[in-house]
Amino acid sequence: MRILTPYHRKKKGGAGVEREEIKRELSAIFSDMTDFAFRELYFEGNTITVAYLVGFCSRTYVNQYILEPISRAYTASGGKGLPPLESLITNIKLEPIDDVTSAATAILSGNAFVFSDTMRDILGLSVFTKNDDGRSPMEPETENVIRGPHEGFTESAEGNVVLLRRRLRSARLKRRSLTVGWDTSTDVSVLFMEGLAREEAVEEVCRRLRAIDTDSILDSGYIEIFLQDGCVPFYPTVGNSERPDKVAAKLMEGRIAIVVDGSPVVLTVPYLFCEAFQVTEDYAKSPWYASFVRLLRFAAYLMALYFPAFFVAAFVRHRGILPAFLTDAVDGARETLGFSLFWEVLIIFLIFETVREVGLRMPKAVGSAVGLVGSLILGDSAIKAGLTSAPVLVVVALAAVCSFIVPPYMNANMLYRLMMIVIGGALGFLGLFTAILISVAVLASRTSLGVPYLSPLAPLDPRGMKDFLCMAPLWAMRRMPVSLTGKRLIRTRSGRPNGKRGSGRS
Amino acid sequence: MSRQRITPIQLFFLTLLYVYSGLSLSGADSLFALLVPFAATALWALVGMRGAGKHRDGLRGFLSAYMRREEAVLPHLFFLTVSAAQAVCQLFDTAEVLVREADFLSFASVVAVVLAASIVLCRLGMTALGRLSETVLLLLIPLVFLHAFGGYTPMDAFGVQADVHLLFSVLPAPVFFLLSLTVTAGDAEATDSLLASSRVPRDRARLLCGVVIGGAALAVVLRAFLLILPLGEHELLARFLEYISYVVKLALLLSLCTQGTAGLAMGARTVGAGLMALAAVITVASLGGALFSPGALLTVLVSTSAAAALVPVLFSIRPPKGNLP
Repeated sequence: MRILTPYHRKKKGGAGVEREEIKRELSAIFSDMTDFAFRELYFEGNTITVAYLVGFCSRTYVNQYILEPISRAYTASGGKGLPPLESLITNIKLEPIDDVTSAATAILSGNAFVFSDTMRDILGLSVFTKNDDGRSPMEPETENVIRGPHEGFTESAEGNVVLLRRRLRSARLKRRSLTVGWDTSTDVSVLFMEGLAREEAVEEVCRRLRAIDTDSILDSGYIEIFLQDGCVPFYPTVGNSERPDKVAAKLMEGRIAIVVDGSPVVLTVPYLFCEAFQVTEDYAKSPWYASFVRLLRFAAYLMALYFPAFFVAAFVRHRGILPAFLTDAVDGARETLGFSLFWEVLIIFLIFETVREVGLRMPKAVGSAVGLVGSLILGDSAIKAGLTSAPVLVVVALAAVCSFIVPPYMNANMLYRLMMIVIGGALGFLGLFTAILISVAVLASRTSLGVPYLSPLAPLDPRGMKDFLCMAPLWAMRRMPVSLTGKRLIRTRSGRPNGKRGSGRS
Repeated sequence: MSRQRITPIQLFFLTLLYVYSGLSLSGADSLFALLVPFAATALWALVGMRGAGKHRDGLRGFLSAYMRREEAVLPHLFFLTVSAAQAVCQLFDTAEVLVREADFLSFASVVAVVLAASIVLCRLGMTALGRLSETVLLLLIPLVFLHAFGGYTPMDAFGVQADVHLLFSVLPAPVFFLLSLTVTAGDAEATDSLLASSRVPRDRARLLCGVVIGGAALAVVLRAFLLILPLGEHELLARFLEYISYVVKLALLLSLCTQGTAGLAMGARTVGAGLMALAAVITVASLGGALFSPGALLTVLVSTSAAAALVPVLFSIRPPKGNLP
């Protein structure tokens, strides 16, 4: 395809022929696309053509911003001619286009491409007319809160940025935009707070995004895989959220947000281990209660990971350390079973995960029924039929339920739990201790965009520890976590309310 | 930050685990037995103060604070040899203790598991090891909390365990090695944001010396606390802490040996590796009772190591160079 530029237009004679040539080029690019259309306005000595994609481009906007102003201007001039199109089109987002490829890209982004016989210095104009009809912000189903805003991101990147700007009315909230994917040309925006986010981290995110060389980006999940630190990390090093308030809070801690057009899930980096235990709602509660709940979450997280494994290790390899009443109870319940305890735990674990996956993939109404059937009827019947024992079912179910308390690690925990059960069954406590030690060491050696993954625990950051497992009141979190910002920044100047250290002191 | 740098907090926890491992493995259960490793560690920290004045690139660089770099080769090789012997002792002692718990496993398989874990930790680097040691805090808090409700058992002043074995568990080389890797605020290598934003210590050497002594003191207090208020024979958290300390200490010794030879010239590296291998073989043989009695070998190694540790001090008392004003 030959690319037409203003140079070609000037070189050739006959403006009408040139416009026709642009039309032909565009028709060739958008051939076999019934949703591609032209709308032409014929005036004396000049023809204006609007190229757009039906549906993707809003008809109301095309009428309101392009067609109506041009017609009105022509009528007002009494048919004597038109002023330049740039001053006629009343849309705020107007961009001169110099070649057909850019024109095609603009059309594919939902814009209208306007060109006429009289344009000499440019090929045409791209007018923002993208159809922004989408769902309105609703509360995300994955991150429910009792107290806090009930608003979530949508599939519109522009709308999502607006949701963030509404919360962070600061000129320090910067935005860099780029397009990723050969065929999808997905708009990706990088947002950060200037002065809070580390400059090298912002540059690194942009570098990683620019380095993505793939045909399609259909969701933020695709970007997440390319942004991860390490080839295939077990635990996520990129965070995600559907809640604008949560992402805004992360931006205010020096993190970077990545908004992908078409995805209601916004990514955040760096992502640290401790983030999974922090919930936006904690900050609206009493620090005492919030600390208690966080400790509970951490205990549940550990239970989800290790309870079945330690159960298997103790009963299969170290029966001597267990009290007699416990061994008697479990042995009594398993008298008629044909499987060893190790295999029983493994089988129940796999059945539970299968039922969970089925419940997730089924339509909502049926899914809950499947969950009920799976958990109550299937479990009860299996015990009655002598296929499994009640203690094992309790252990596996308790661990599975506990794993839901930290949603970001749900998938990783499932695999980790399976691994631990196998190691516990094979090597007992020695194997479990070794596995825990190595996994913690591997996590300790990891970084997310240059920030140690286990921060603020390792390396120990006393300021960061105020918002880890135990939570200090907001007025006590006087400084930002150093590991994220790399600087000693003040977060709050207010002192203790009604205390000796009055407000306004830093 | 390089994968081989540690922060002062990590130095504290690594010292804690290093000393605790020795106390636990040797079964120190009297006040005297607890104080001997502490005193030895404190002595090595004081001896190492001159070297801790600024950041060094490993043990050899640390020794060069006391003598010329070429003179430091021999003490360096000696320290590596003793550390190799100490690592072998640590490995076999650990396996011996663990096989009592995991009686369904053979001695060889326990050795293999512990060695594999140490090699993985060693490969992850000293920074990861330091960070791992910091996470012990999450274990210590519930451990101390639970043991506070344990039964009371008074401790003896002098037990039978206070032998040379205890001293062998805290030789100078690992302490010097840890001091040499520590980076504080103000050092050129302190690129870590946490260190970069910290305050520059007024006296670096005194700070690090205090950190080492503090870590050793906490190890002693912790051991005494767990002995005085025991929970029971099969207390999992305490066993886990012991296991962590064993493996971390072994990984530390392995890192010392591998890093010690990495910076040397080819000839010195070959000699170093040969000496370490020889030390390992002799230690294995003596532990099995094939060559010497284990006690005799340990006595020889401990006394020579202590003498070697004092050599830097003697070197450091040399007249200043240059003309007097």
